[in-house]
Amino acid sequence: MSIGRAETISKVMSQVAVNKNSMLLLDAEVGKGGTITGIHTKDDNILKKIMAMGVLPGMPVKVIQKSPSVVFKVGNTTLAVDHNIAQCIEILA
Amino acid sequence: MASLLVNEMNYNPDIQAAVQKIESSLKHTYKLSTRTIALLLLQGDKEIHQLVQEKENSYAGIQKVIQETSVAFEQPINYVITLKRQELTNSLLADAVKEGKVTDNNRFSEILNKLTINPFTGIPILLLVLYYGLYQFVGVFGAGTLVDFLEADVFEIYINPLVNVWTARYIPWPVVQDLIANDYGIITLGIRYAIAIILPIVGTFFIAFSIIEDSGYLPRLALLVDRVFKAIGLNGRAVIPMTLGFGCDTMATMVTRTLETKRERIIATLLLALAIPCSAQLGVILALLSGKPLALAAWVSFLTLVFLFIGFLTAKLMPGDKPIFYMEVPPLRMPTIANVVSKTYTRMQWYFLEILPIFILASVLIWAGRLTGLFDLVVKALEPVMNLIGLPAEAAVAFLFGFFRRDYGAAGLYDLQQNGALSTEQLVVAAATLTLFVPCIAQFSMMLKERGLKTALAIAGFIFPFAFLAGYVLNLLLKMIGGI
Repeated sequence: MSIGRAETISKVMSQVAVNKNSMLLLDAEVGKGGTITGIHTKDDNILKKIMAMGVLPGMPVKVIQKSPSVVFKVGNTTLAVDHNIAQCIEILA
Repeated sequence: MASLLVNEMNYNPDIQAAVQKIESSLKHTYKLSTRTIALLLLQGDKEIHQLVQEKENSYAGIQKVIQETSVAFEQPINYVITLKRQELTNSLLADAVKEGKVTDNNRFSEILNKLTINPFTGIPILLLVLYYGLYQFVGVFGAGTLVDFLEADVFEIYINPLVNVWTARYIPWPVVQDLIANDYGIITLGIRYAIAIILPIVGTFFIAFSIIEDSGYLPRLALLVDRVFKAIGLNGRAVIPMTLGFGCDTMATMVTRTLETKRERIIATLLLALAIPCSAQLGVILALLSGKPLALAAWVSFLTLVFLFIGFLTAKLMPGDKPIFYMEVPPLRMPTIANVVSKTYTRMQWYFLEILPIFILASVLIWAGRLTGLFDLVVKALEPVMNLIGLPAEAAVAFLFGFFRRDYGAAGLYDLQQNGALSTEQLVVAAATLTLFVPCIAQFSMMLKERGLKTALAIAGFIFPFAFLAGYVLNLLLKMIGGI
């Protein structure tokens, strides 16, 4: 079950520049949707894992649960991650 | 329509330039195109870096090019390149795929999904699964009904007597008779235990596990327990080897391969060897303590405490990267019979080919040990230790057996209990110490294979004294609260 199409990345990036309302996946509200706008981490390992899962800017995202693990839907896939990873993902509601 | 020719994929000019520079300095022929190698180098692929470093003299120059290029970007080059590819993918899909109206999934499936991942409803669901799957199906049906039928009806009435009579008739030497038949023979003990006791228990466990696995429940369990597992140095993914451990610790030790860091693999192996009873042992211990719910509760609580305590301690003491947790959560599905059958069959086949020979070897070793008197020597040596933890000297045999097959040991305690030789407190202490006691011979050989000689010996060397220490502490605790 999909939750929307991917936006073009440049469109998303320009939206972020204009709209300062982007937040971390960790801080997003449960049940709310949005678009991924960026991945911020110094750790190469985490970066590779996040990208390999298909979590990339432009993808639609919806938060399902935040505790004990962060469960969210990206495109058609449901993923579960811990806080270390959730704090690296930036979204725009 | 976006161009599909990869060569025309227009990355950022800085990256294009870097790719060209790197391509020109690659002299060797690789299985992949030089453009791919160049891109992989820019993306930081460790394996390709190693390969190129070995094969090319120009590696230092290539590294310099990568370094200079990465300065031009805020984000890692890997990220930039991946983003570009994703853009192309999105535009291709936009031209070719039409999304229909979003239809809601099967309502029941959605509700069940929500229930299993929410901790307030998820934990009760887990307890339900454990009760029906583990206790009722494996414990009562497998370890009770099936084992009773196979052991008492098939083996004891038909097979064992037949074997005993034949060996008495055709084999003149009592020594060899004892090897094959009578009390400790390969067929009367070894194979009987493998087929009449272990097979039904392990078989029912594998069936239950395959059903749970096929339904897609395990990732949900993983995300619920991740926080707890983090505290003991593991992450949610370890839920798979840990739950398998309740079926067969040897198989679970093999599955620890799937854990990502070495630190996690060692901690998981230690905990499997120490505190996770395999289904064979679990079955017999449940039978042992079944009449006394308090004793059962004491055993479970004590083991859980030891598991968490040692896990926590090891996590604090061991150096290494802290694990991260990520897992795809597939939709909950009705398990397919064909899948369950094939998964169970594969695991059973593995069990027979890997474990049964070791089982037979164990029989031979016990026979040799008794023959040479080595057996009695070790039993004598263990007796003072038994007294230390408040058990009668006869329990020493059960512990010695326990190394060869954990359930042999538990069954030995069963005999003692039937004869009234053990009080309830002693039973709990014996059961707990036996569970913590060194891994069975099959599991130990798997540990050697997976973790190497040094680590396996270190783990076994820790567990042996610790098990008895824990037994001593438990004995004291039970005495302090005035017995159960």
